[in-house]
Amino acid sequence: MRRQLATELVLIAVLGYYGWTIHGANVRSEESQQARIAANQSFEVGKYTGFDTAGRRVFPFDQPGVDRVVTFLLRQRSLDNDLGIWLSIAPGARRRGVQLVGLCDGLACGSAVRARGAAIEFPVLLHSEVTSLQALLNADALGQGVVKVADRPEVAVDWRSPGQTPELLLARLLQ
Amino acid sequence: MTMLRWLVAGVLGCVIVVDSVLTLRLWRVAMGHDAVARIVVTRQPNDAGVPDLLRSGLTVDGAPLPSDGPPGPLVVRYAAKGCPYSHSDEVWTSFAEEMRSRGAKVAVLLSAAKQAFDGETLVPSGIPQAAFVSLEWMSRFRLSSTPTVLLFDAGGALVWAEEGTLRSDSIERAVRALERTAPETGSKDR
Repeated sequence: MRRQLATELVLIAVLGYYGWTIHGANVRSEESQQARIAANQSFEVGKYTGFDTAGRRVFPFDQPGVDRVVTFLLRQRSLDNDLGIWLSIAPGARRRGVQLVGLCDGLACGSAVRARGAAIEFPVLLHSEVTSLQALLNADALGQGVVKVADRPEVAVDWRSPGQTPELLLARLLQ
Repeated sequence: MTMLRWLVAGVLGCVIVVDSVLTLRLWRVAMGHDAVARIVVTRQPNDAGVPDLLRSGLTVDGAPLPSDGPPGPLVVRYAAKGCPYSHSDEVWTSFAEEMRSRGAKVAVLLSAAKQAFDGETLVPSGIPQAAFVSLEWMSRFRLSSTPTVLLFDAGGALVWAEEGTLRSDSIERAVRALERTAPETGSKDR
């Protein structure tokens, strides 16, 4: 009986040890993820260059008259809605020197965008640089896009929040 | 009294069996709770439809990366020319050689196109460098520090990873991780 009790105590101790280890690792993992997201907010992410859905190189800041670039994620599952929002402000944005750049979340989105051809008035990337992608992923997790003004630090802009209107969104992009 | 003793002993025996199973399961979880868990966002092997880096990435010039040859493990080193740790990693050369000797392909994933390594600083020399990558591939991982080494098995699943410069036992641990998954992934189609 004593031997069984001792065995049971050892097993409980081992379970406790591993349980505590895993809990600690989970906490550390969560903390480091939060730290990374915070750090990524201030990433110098370059200029959102990349290759669009047709394989053409895109240099958003090289367009004439462009002084700010707005990058946002297009999700395949809400593509019509996502495109609708940005297409509605595209003409006004272009007149004010704002270059819109979409970024597809996968090949299916890329194919759908390619099929629409010239109906989409701004470039949509299928490939970009890791730092740009990571920053955009972090922003999109909060329902945001990223606004980059020439050499200034980036700022995030809410665009997936309910109640967002094209006029409000355009006004925020120009702030 | 004797019956009571037997009853207690029986209950204790059952508890010991259950706890042993739990301990074994926890031990396996704890062993797997390594750098891979910190880097992976979703465990999606290639047979889930996401192509590997060699098929998802583009060079600095926008050309596809060379992805021919027989299927096998893939080592991806997230690195940057401007990162001093990417240059000072003394274990990396041996690591890459060891992995290549085991049939693995080795590629670099750059943090940005301007961070491409030139002929002399690219180790091993001549390996493909991915400067642009699809979001589909990228969204599976959290890559925030260079260098980071990712090791994929022949089925495309991430089996080992290490953030920061490699340690002296990194090769051994990576080989062990690769060998552990080899029988499981050997039958998978790519």
